[in-house]
Amino acid sequence: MPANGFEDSEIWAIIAYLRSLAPQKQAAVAGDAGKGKQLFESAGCSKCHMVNGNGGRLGPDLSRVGAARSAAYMIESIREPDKELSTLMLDPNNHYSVPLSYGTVTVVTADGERVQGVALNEDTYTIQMMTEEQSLRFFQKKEVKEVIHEHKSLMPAYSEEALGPAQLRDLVAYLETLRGSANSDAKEGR
Amino acid sequence: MKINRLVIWLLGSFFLLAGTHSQSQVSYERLLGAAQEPKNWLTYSGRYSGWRYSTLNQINTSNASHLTMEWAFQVGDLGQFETTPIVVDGVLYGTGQNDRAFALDARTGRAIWRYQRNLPDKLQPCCGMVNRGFAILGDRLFMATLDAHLIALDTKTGNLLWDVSAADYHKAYTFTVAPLAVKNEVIVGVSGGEYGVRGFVDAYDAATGRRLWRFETVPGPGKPGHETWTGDSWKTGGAPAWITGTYDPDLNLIYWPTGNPSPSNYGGERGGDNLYSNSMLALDADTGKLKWFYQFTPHDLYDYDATQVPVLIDAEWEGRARKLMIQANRNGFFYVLDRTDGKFLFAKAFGTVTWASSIGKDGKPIVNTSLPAKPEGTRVCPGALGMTNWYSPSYNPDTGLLYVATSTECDIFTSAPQKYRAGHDFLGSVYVPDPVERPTGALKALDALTGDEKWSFPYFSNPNGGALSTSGSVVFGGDSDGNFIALDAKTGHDLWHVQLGAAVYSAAITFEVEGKQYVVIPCGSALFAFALP
Repeated sequence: MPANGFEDSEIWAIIAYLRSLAPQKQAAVAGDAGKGKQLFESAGCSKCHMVNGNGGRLGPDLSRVGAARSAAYMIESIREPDKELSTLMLDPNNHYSVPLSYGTVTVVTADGERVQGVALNEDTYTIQMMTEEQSLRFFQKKEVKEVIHEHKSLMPAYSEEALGPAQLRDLVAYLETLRGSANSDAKEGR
Repeated sequence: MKINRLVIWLLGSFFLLAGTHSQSQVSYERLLGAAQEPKNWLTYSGRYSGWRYSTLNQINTSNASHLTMEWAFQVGDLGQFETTPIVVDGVLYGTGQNDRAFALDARTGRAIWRYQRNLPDKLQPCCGMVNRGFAILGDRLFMATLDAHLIALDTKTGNLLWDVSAADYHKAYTFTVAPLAVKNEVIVGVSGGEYGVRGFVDAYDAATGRRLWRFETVPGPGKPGHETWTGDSWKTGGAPAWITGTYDPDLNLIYWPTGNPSPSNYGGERGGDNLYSNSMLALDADTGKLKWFYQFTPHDLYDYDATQVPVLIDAEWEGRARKLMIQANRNGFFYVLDRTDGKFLFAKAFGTVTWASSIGKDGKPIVNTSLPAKPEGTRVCPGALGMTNWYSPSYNPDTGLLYVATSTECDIFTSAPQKYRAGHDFLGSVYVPDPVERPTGALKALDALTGDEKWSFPYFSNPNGGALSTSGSVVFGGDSDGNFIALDAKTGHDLWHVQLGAAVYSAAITFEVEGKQYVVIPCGSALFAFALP
């Protein structure tokens, strides 16, 4: 992005506009956050997503998701997780490349094992993965048979049959309460 | 008696010369003959023809796998490290981020001086506080600075010798280019195409800093080409000149490419071809007068700067020896021109191109008229960063191949009118990468006369680094994932790589000190030097 010569008043106007896009503090969805929390654990969300230090590691940490994402975005991510994949680590040394996202990667090893998961990092020679089993696996590409990339999330799509409208409202109401703490560290990526 | 005195004088002169060789001056004659002294790297592209090729072959396909690091030098600053160092008789001269500069013992990487430009607080370089290197002439180094000055430094001390202002940095005129020294001149081109500057190429007297000539890349009223801009759009027309050109001493022509018209992605208020944006200029080296031009992308809407190093080769073309210029252009086409008169000879896409179907026999692109940027967004290939970009290609006369780093990125362009304000960005649009297809890259070997792809080495990400090739039949490239890579120049076979930890934003150079060949690449905040153990 080119540097700008904005006046201070213009910068504040842009900040005001960006803030207007942020989710509101009050829950946009009328649901029961307490029930949503239970659902988060019983429906399997916490197997892959961490909240405040508890939960799985395969998907994005959701400790601040209520501050970072709108209810509409969260609903879309639950119903259609393939539609917009979240971004992985941003490399501060690389200004023009497009970062990796939470797509599905399958490595077929020399002895035919299929290892599926998310690529935490990758280059021409190597790949560093978080597998579906949530272990870290690193591969030299010259030592494997194939690396397959798919623009789809490993997260299942929660249809209305799997998660009814009331349950969805409860779940999103809970996610909206997740706003981290004032001194939350910023992790690279989102 | 007279003879004896002559002998003594000659012997004395010889020993004097021999004794000072390690600190000898770089005359214009040495720059002309740079190809004959491969131990040094005397210009941005290694020689005036823009080849970025060396006849050093100690490192070759049989031993490149044994390369090891000899030294690293930390600049002490952050941001993209885009320099091409100059090496003269064992001393390496480089520039860094934020207009830092340094001289090193090229054998050990130990600094002998450092320089830091005292820059004003509010600068507007579009794409980082970068600098691409020095030019050298005599005992002086020339650096074009981010505040649009040209300065001369003493080679032995880094002391400032003169400092001249070329343009007003408050209006976003900046320099990022490595200058080109020709005869007694230092030639530079301006940056600022994202801010509505009016581009120029300047020549300055190396001795005094006095400006000798200026060629304005957007012609003013009464000048040929002015009619290619509607209304007052020429006043903010862009066409910057931010990459180092090349030079043909026989024709006495400097070849300097230009960048995008401003605003880069909205053409509604700059009707016409917008000369001399996205063009190759052939300028008389003594006067700066335009001998010929060729415009690659008329009335550009996609930021297709032609700022790729023009490569000069002499070859047989259609049965007769001809002086040619080749360029793999950001717009996705590989071009062959006659460099004596600018005649278009040939063009061919070297990847997926959608903005034009081909280049016609008259040299004009056959534009895909269904694609002009619309407010709702249009997917166009290549994207705004181009199929290639400013990072240097390498031409290898042994293989007859041009090595070019390429990107597959296509972008979604939107477009809207924008009011010009001095010093503010002036794009007329935003563009974003295609959200579904993550762009990748490659280091491609193209036949220098046909543009045919001979091999392609895959890069996982779209690149920012260029290429160097040698008569050891090795091509060195650097990718955006931190790998510095050596490939077989004939086959693209992977010989060696090392992970340096940051995207590579430059191209390698090579030189020799005390019988050892070194390859140096800038990466992250450091220069890394490699050699055989």
